[in-house]
Amino acid sequence: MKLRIYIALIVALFALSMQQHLDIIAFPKHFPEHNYSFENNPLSFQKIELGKMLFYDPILSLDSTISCASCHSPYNAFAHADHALSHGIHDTIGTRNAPALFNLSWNKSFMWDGAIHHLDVQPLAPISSPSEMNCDINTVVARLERSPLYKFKFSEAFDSEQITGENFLKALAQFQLSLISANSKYDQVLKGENTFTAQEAKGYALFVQHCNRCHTEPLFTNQNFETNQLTPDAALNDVGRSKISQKEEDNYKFKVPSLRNLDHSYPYMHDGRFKKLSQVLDHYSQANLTPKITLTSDDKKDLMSFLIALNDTSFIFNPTNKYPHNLYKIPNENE
Amino acid sequence: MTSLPSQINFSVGIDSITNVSGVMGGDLDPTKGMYWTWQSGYINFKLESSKITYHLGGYASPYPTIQNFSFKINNQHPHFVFDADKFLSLALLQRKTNIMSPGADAYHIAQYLQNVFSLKE
Repeated sequence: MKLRIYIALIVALFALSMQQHLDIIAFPKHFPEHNYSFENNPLSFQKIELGKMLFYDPILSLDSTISCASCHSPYNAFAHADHALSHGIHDTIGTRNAPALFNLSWNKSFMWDGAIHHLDVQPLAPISSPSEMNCDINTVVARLERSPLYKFKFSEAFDSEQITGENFLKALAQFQLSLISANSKYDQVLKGENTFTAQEAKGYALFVQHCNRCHTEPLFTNQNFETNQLTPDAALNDVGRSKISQKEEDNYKFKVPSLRNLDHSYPYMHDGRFKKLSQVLDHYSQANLTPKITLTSDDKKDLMSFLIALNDTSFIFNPTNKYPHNLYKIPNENE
Repeated sequence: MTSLPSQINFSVGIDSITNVSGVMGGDLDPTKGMYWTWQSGYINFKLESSKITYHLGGYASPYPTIQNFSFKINNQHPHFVFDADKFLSLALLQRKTNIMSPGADAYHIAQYLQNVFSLKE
């Protein structure tokens, strides 16, 4: 009997210790189950820190001019504010609006067309794309290998002298996983720490009625590919999801983006054609959607006040997510 | 005395579960050049010349490209032969010389791999 209790205790402790690394990031309790496979990439402070250095380092681009943060700025919820389409090296312009980055462990796919199925391998796309960093992972790994700083940081994070593509991508993933936005007024209301104004409450009711089907709370996306009923831009000729699925019914469908932090991540839509949120609401209230979204001008104001309650300034201004200038040096033991 | 295996099974390509399980190390590290960048997934088979580029991959239905093989062996030193001439003459029946994405073309050409591996004892 006693033995059985001991065994149960040991099993429980073991299970707990396997999960403990997840406590490094303050994941919100009111969110659903993660989609990211943490067991293959257990979190550590060193890996998150290393990932942060890599995220902000232009060493990833061919001519060392742009970093991930060039198009995913912390002040814009890690989107590229005021730029409709992403920018690459030599002033090349991409074909899509750089999306905001947060709450990524719940994502089931990445990019507007879902071309990428796992956060670990997502950076391969912008690193290699000719209109983004125009580089390749072998060049990046070779550069890191030549850097005494990164040799030191990788050996600290991975207990291995050798820098591999696998470890490089796992560290980058860990920093991105640490970008959590779950402290908007909406979240506070959900946790009973705050209350909506009358206008926000009206806006929330309109949101549930018209928007929640695709922008499903609490992530504010159902993660599916849906039509946005925009007239395709003839110059870009972006067919969206069908490029990946090779199914005609997916023509001009794009991944539903989250509605969190909209104040900070303008412009909107996959091609960034709308600078103002009011233009997005005007578009959807005229668009040929099923069911149709009908909004009066008062409804739009109410809905807007609810969308503003999804901004999370504690995330936008979180100093731990910023450019880590203090990390780009090997610690001196004599200091 | 240890007994000899009577059968050898192998695959050309990466199964779908491994394909969707995040970044892998060792031979499956993306630095080895067998991983697509613009779309997630392993390249299962590469054949390149000045006129032909076959990057065959794709794990999802209806166009999985992984090919499984199973050979009965009677010999201590089996050798596997890949007949490149035969593969090319079959592949070119599809009249495509550049395949670098998953889909119907990659699926059909990957099937020809079944005809070009043989066991030489």
